[in-house]
Amino acid sequence: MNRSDWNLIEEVKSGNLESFNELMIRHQQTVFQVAVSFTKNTDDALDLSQTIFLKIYENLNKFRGESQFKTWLMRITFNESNNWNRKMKKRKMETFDEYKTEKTSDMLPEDQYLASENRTALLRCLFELNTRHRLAVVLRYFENYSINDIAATLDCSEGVVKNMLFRSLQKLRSNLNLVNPGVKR
Amino acid sequence: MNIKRDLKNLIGQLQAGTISAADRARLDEYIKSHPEFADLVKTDQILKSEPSLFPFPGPEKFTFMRENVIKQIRRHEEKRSAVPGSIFEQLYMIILRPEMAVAALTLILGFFLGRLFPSDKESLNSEIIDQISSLATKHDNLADLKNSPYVYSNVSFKDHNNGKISLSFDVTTHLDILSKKDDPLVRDVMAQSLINPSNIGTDLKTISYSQTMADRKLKEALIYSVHSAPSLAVRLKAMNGLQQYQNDAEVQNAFSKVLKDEPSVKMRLMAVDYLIKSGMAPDSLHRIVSESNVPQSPAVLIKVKNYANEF
Repeated sequence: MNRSDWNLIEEVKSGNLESFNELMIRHQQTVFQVAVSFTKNTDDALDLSQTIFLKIYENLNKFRGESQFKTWLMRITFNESNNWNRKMKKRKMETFDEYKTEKTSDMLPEDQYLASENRTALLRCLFELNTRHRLAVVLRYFENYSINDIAATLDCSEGVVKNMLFRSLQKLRSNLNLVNPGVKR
Repeated sequence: MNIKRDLKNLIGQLQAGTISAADRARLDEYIKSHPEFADLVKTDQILKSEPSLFPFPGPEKFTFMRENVIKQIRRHEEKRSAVPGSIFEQLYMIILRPEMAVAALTLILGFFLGRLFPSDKESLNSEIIDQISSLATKHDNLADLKNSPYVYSNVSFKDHNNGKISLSFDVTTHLDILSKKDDPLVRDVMAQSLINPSNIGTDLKTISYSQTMADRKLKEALIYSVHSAPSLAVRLKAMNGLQQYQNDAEVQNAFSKVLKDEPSVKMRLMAVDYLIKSGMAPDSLHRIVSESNVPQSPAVLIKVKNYANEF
C-alpha cells in the first residue's frame, strides 16, 4: 500500500480533515471514472462521488491496511455505485453529446465525427456490460489497475478477471465495428 | 498448440499490459489470418487510446464536490458534539478515556472471571439452591417435607408486591460418613462445630476427640472456644485440649490473655501452669498478672510468687 496514503489515513483518523481533502484529491478521478460508468452523466457522477467519499470517511476507522487502500476504496465505490444504480433503475438513458463536443474540440471535423461516434458506441456498449465486467474494463483501461488489483477489488481470482476482460472485449468489438469500417468481422 | 487458445492467451496478455515484444510480434502475425481476433486487438487499441470514459469535469467542480464533503462531515461532527448522544454513545465516550477504559476493562474482566471461576460459596449456594428447588418440585404434602433431608430455619422474607419475594434462610442437613481420622473433612467439621457451638455435650465430645490430633485449624478453633464459649466447662475443656501444643506462641498468647481477662480462677490457674511449663520468665508472668483486667485471686498470686521463688 502507498505509505503516503496510509499516513494521510492515520491523520484523518486523528481528526485531520485537511488530510481527508488530500486523500480525495488523490483519488477523485478514479472514483469519478467509476461513478460516471454508472450514472452516465457528469453531474450525477459528481453527486455520487460525494456520497462515496462520505461513505469512505465513515468507514475509514474500519480500514486496517490489510489490503491496498485503492482496492478498499474501489470496493466502496463499486457498492455505492450499485446502490445508486438500483435507485435510478427507472431513469431514462442519457445521451453522450456532451462528451463529443468537449473532448474533441481541436480535431478536424471528420475525425471529430468519427471519434465521437466511436466513443458513443463504446459508451453505449460499456453500459450494456454487467456491472462487474464494466468495473473491470474501467479499472483496467482507464485507471490502469493491474489484473491482481482488479481481482482484489472484485474479490475473485486473476483468471476470472482475465476472462471478464476478454468477454467484455468481444462484446465491445461488435458495437465498434459499426463505426470502424477498417475492422473486419 | 491450439492457435485460437494461444491467441486468446496473447490477447489476455495484451489487455493486462504484460505482453512481451516477441509475443506481440507473434500476435500480429497470427491476426493476419484470424480477422475476428484482429477486431479484438483493434478494440483493445481503441479503448487504450481513450484517456477517460467521460471528460473529467473542471478542477472547480471537483473542488466544489470536496468542499461539500468536508462541510457535511463538519456538520455531522458538530451535531454529534452539540447534541448529547444516546446513553450508549455517552458511555462509549466515557469508556474512551484511558482511566475509564482501564476501570471498565477491570470490571468486565472481573465479571467474566467471576462467571468462569465463581467463588466456592457462590458455587455451593447455587448447587444447594438447585438441589432444594428440585426437591421442592417433588414434594406433594407435608409428610414429604418432614422426610426431606434438608431443614430450613432462621427464615426471613420480603414481599416485593410484583409477584416476587426475597427469601433468606439457613439450610441444614444431616450427613453420616465414615472417614479416616486425618481426613480434612473430619477436621473441618470438628473445627466448625467449635466455632458454631450447638450444645455443651457435643462441644465437650468434639474437644475430647480433637485432643487426639494436632491440627492448626483445630488449635485455632480451640483458642476460639477458650475465649468465646459461653460454657465454663467447654472453655476449660478447650484449655485442656490446647495443652498438647507446648511452646506454641499462639497458645501462649491465648493463655496470657486468659490470665489477664478470664473471670474463672480455675482457668487462670490452668493458664499459669501452662505458661510455667512452657518456660515463661517469672517477670513476664508477674507483669501479665499485674496488668490483669480482673481482680486477681490470691491462689493465682501465690502460684506466681512460688514460681518466682523457685526460679
